[in-house]
Amino acid sequence: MDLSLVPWLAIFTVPLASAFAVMLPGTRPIGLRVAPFAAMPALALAIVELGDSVLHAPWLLLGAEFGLGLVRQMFLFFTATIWFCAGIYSREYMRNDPELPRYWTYFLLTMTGNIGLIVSFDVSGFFCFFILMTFAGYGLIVHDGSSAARRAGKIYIIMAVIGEAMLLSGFLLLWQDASSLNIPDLVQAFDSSSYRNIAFGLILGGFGIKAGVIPLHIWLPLAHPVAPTPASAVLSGAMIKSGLLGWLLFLPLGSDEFKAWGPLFIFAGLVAALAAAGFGFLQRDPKTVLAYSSVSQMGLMSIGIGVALIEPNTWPFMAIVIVFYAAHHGFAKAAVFLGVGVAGLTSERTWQRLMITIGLAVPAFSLAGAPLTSGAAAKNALKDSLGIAPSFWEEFLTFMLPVAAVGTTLLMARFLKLTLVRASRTEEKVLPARLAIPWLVLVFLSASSAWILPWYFEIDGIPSSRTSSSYIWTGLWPVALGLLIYAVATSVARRGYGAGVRGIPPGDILAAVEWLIEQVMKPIRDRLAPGVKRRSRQIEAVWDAWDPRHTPWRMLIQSDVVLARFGTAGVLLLAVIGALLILIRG
Amino acid sequence: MISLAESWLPVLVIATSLVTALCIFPLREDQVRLRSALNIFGATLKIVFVAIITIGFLDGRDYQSRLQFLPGLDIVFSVNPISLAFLGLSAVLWFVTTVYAIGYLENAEHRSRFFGFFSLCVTATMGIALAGNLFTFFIFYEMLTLATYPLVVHSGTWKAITAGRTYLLYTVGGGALMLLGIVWLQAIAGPVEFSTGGVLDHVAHRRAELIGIFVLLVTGLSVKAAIVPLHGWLPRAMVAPAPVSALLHAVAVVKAGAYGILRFIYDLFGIPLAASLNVLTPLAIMASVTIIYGSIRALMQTDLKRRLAFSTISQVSYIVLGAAIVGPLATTGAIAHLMHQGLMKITLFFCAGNFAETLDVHSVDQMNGIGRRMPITMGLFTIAAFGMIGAPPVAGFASKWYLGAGALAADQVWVVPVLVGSTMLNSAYFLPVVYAAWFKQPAVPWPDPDRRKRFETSSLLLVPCAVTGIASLLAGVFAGSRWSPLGLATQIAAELHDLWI
Repeated sequence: MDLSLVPWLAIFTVPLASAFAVMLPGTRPIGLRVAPFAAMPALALAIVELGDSVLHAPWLLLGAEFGLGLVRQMFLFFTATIWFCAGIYSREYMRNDPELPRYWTYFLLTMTGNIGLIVSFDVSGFFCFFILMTFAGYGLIVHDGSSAARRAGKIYIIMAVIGEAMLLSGFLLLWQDASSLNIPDLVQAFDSSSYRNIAFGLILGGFGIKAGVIPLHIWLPLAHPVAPTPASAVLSGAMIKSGLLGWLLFLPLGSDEFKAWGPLFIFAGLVAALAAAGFGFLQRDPKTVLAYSSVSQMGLMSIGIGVALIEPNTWPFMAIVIVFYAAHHGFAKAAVFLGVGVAGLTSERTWQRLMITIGLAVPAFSLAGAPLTSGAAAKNALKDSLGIAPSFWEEFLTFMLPVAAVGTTLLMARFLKLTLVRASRTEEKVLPARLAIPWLVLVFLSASSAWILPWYFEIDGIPSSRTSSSYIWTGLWPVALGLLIYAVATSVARRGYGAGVRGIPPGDILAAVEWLIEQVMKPIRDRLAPGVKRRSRQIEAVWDAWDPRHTPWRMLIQSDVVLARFGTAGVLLLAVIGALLILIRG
Repeated sequence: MISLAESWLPVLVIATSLVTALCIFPLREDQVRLRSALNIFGATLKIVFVAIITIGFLDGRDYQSRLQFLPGLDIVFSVNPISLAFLGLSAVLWFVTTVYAIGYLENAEHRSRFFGFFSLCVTATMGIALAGNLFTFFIFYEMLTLATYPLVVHSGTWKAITAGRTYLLYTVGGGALMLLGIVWLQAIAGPVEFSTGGVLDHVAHRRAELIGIFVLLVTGLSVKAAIVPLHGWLPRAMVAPAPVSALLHAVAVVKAGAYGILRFIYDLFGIPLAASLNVLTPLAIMASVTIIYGSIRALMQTDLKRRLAFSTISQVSYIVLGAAIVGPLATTGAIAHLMHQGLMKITLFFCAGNFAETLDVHSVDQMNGIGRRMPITMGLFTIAAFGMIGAPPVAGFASKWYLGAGALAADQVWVVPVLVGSTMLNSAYFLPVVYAAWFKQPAVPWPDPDRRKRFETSSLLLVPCAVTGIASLLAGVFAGSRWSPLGLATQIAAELHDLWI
């Protein structure tokens, strides 16, 4: 075995081995001790520069390949960081959980999948880790066993299976025209495949389910909030991005033959950005509000992909911008989710309460894109990359992006209100440092990613340091407008107006989808099924009543039934065979 | 020139289990140690012989035994690539199942009879695997029917006797059809022996007759391969003890049918002839119908073993489907699935047996929270179930991938929805079981584990299960390796199609 493979294998075998260690009672104490740090090898690999080399392990899966490159390395960096912080946070947060080993098992398996898929350069490896992440993630969602969790889990798994099926078919269709299972080779096949648009649609949908694109997002506002808080943070901060990474890696972005798909992405992204803000604003649980915010933010990232499809020459740069945005959103979203847990344990000390309020507000305003935050830098980068190819879309999006920012501001205001109100009701006395530190690390990263990432990964063109007044103004007015709308909306609601819209449950159109399915299934269940069941029972009854002894088979059957009764009958049979063999030899 | 060892090894492989059977029948019930020792010895010896043959064959040696039965009618055993795959699978799984059966039937009655016929059943399977001509194939195919019957009716209950009767009706009928086909073929083509690439080119012009023969032969085999609508016996045969079901579904009966179809297409008719007769697409359609039908029926079952039985119906047809699609990728998928399905399904049945033996759990409804009481067994069940669904890295993914790719390469796009639909149906009937076992609370607390046992159940039941379960995982994880089932299947397919992929 090639020794240079060792670091690559380590980054997912460490969490995998820890998962097995936690599973087995004998090694559980060691496993639990290692578990919170299992993301460290991945983090180390993301920080250490390894160049663009791709390593082959032909004996693994259908021929695994591992490598990084800039996009994957940035992805690995924020993903591993979020997993690492969530792991440390879990150690304290989940301490008294009765199902601790189970939690860690699924946490580590999901981590293995999420990290492994980022470094996979071939389809079989990527798909394998993707599926591991998906199915293990189920264990995190249903962890607390409540009926809400079970329902969320059920919808999650149905959507996940549909997603896997779409991806499998999409990959298969492409592989026909691909020279290997290597992902870039597979994407090359878009040029020649006769099923190119079907494959495109399947891959779009398959990853779209994970990325929460409307209308495939219905599982997300249910599933993300019901998980234990650190698991919500990785679901919304890191795992949701694997759908985005799937798009970045598997779609023929940069090719100018798929322009027609661009408006679909832009449209779906805009609907997600705006509708999710609306639906999310009406939620009562702060974590559900955050889940909707994730849908909304993923919408903005899919707009970037749409633009790249329409204007292929924006491509290589757009990839970096999208990953940059994803990293910013990952840090900020993980920080606010962990903050919900921290706020739930509010301390009596004033400075700690102040710290919690600031620590929640910083990533929240960053998400809204307030000036001088990383969020503003990410949004500006997205806007600037549109400028590379001026067109109708640029003007359209220059207008729409601030509208989306108004929506996010609304969501974040709602989130802060819900969290801080809830926080004041709890009775815990002190904020444990083990909980505070991983959270504060993420808060810090969410505030500073716009400076750290371009500096460390040497990216040019991310307008992090721009502080000119026009940039401040474009960042400021949507936030200000959002806060104004929030104030108006709450005062209207306080007077009792709009009670009707406030009843929209998490999952919004899910209720409609379920109603539709019920309408289709009801007649089948009530009318068709009993008939089929009755008929098949009749057939089985006729069959069971039929006695072969009254048929020409009688002799044969009886002789064999008799044979079965005597153990010695076997000897007889063997004697015959033995005699045959002797005859043959002669 | 074939050396003495090369001409005797195939016979020896068959003789190991035949002699074991002969020695076991006269034993008294209470001679447990002797019987177990004989069983294990026979199984070990067989693995050794099969290993020698495998290594020798890959070195380019030819193995063939020829015994004259009647003038002009020889019994021929020979080794060719496909038979090697089936032979290896049977030898390994027989060993594992023997160990399991010894544990499973610890206090049962009629164990000498059981193990005797059990060995006979494997003898027949080995004979089928090594059959070098149609006549030999038929003899052992029928022997398999007769040797399995006492195993199906082993418990002696009315239900078992009825199931056995059904089994005989189906299989004897199928055998009769096959015999008809064999005689017809003998009449037009003379005595023929299996050979890679097909041996019927000299009569290729008699198309109508060849189509008739193909239909007769494949229909005869379809009974054992449980292709809809000839599958009725299989769910009923579930009354057999768990090790029998395991062997029946993974290696012996069902696999023999599927293996026969592979041999007939590749080594008797040959791919070009079979394709030119236009019989393969109807076969592919039959297999696809079976895949979907079996999955839907599995969804409706609440009895765990019955659910697994319908799942077998569905999964074995993957092999037939792969055989019916022309192209090296589909062939790879078929041969790989022959082995993968064996490993995964035998694991599932072992697990079902463990649940029944340890906790008297037979129905899916009783499995709530079983993962807490029997985590190892349920863990292995989970691995195998995900393999059946086709989720990587378990072995099932690799075969499904190659089948899908093969279908597309042959421009049979309609197969992809079949595979994907089956994947989703498999999820629908396996995932709720997995969920209930790990996440639901049991209705009544599980009885405390037996203090005398080191693990959650007897280690004789647990170890075989662990071996096959882990093997099905490793077969998928290291699928790219040359020595994995997929790697071997790739080499075999390349030889059959005379090209490297």
